[in-house]
Amino acid sequence: MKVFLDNCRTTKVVPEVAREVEKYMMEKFARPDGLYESAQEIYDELVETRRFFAKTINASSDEEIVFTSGATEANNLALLGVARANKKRGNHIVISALEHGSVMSIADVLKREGFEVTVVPVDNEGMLKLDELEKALRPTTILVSIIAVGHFVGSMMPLKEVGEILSRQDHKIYFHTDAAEMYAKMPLDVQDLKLDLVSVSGHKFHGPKGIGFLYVRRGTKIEPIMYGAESFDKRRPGGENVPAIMGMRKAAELAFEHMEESYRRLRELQDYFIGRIETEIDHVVLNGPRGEKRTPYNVNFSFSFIEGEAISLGLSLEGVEVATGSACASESLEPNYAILAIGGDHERAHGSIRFTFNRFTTKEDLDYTVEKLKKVVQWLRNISPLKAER
Amino acid sequence: MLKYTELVLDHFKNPRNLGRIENPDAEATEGSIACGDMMTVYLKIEDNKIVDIKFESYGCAANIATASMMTEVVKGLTLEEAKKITWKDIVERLGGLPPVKYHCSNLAIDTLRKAISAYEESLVGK
Ligand SMILES: Cc1ncc(COP(=O)(O)O)c(C=O)c1O
Ligand code: FES
Repeated sequence: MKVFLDNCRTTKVVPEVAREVEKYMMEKFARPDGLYESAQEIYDELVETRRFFAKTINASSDEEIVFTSGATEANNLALLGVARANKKRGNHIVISALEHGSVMSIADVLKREGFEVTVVPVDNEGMLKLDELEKALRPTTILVSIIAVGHFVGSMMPLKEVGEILSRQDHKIYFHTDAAEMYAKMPLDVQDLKLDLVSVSGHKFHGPKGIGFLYVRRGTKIEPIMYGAESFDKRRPGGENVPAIMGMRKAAELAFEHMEESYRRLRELQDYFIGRIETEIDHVVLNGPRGEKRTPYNVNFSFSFIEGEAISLGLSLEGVEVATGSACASESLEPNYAILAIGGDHERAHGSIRFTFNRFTTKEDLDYTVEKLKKVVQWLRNISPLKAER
Repeated sequence: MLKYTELVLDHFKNPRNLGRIENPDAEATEGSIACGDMMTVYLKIEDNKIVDIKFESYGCAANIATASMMTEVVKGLTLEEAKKITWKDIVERLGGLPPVKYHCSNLAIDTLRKAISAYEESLVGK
């Protein structure tokens, strides 16, 4: 049996999506910028597809959707594009301690360009500290970027409260969220949350890799980060990846169709999975919040006295694929920053394993995972010099 | 996940000389500053020869595999011979390791050497 529980990293493309991609590679292969019929057709379809995506987040116009090569590029366009276009108004940017690595690296680039960046801490559950956010705001703050759902510990950030706080300020502060782990998994309404920019990635919901979009609220001052010939969308020049865009659209249609039911079903499975691990394995700590504050797509545990890379390799040899926050599994040998941000220590990061679901994950998958996990954890604890009783 | 050789995976899955020795002639625990891992080595020594060796590891797959290979290599060697074994020898015997994992084999060697030193010190004044 094979169980893939690293769906926060990527998901498999479903057949309907693959067929759609193939269609736009082999049959409807035109670009939107020719003056002939097949190009005009693609032009119309792209506009209609932007309208579709706009509707999924309650945006008001199709022109507010910019297709990108994924959430990394969307994050780059949002942060670099808005910061650079608004630097006359201010040079201060605020992010959270749980941002994805892409936002963290972009923040470093902005610092080198002379911007100041404040990182707002999270509490022990990985929830943003709203009072700290409020304190961080300055007259020179131009942009706040808060991840929608912590990709390692699964905390769903209080975006609505952040939107309220930002809208109460005397000057305009753009509000961006990296919604890679939220979009198509739960409702996201840019009006309700008062969002100006939203990053989305197609391969997180069974779409193709290398495609995503950035929502840009009308009126947002933003610069492109790439320059090219005149094209469909001057905010992002170059030949549109039409097959991937149409594949992502199909994936989104299917995901939204099953969204509510999947959310409910995965919430039950999550409770079941957490319950089994907590009752059947000793010395475990759940990383991140419980209940409604946690995305139903994520479970993250630390297993004491053993190391995560060994756990994940052990599980992989049994057919179960997961992620770890262990320093040993990272190129830099740094422990996972999300575990440190929620107040965990090096050891807790060391033994952390992230299990992330998709809408096809079944109870059988999780039962199999628990059985293999028990085996691997017990085996590694037997060979560890650290033991509870010693 | 990193790419490991078949032999590394084999030593990870079936580590040789795993566990503890009751009443060892020497033992040592070392930690890696690089990643925070730990291992313990137990030695049984007769006539200056390592007649038995066991290890425990709180470490990554590469650490478990290098420790396992190290024990296999040094078992039966004299202390002088064992001291000459380097982390590079172990990595070579395993058919290579990702460079970011070299320090894991270092930990295995450091712990062995520390255990040997502990044994030699225990002899002083006897
Ligand atoms: C929260 C978050 N943001 C951004 C990304 C990057 O997405 P992409 O692979 O589309 O660039 C990911 C996935 O790795 C993610 O989980
Ligand atoms: S012992 Fe930590 S990376 Fe190998």
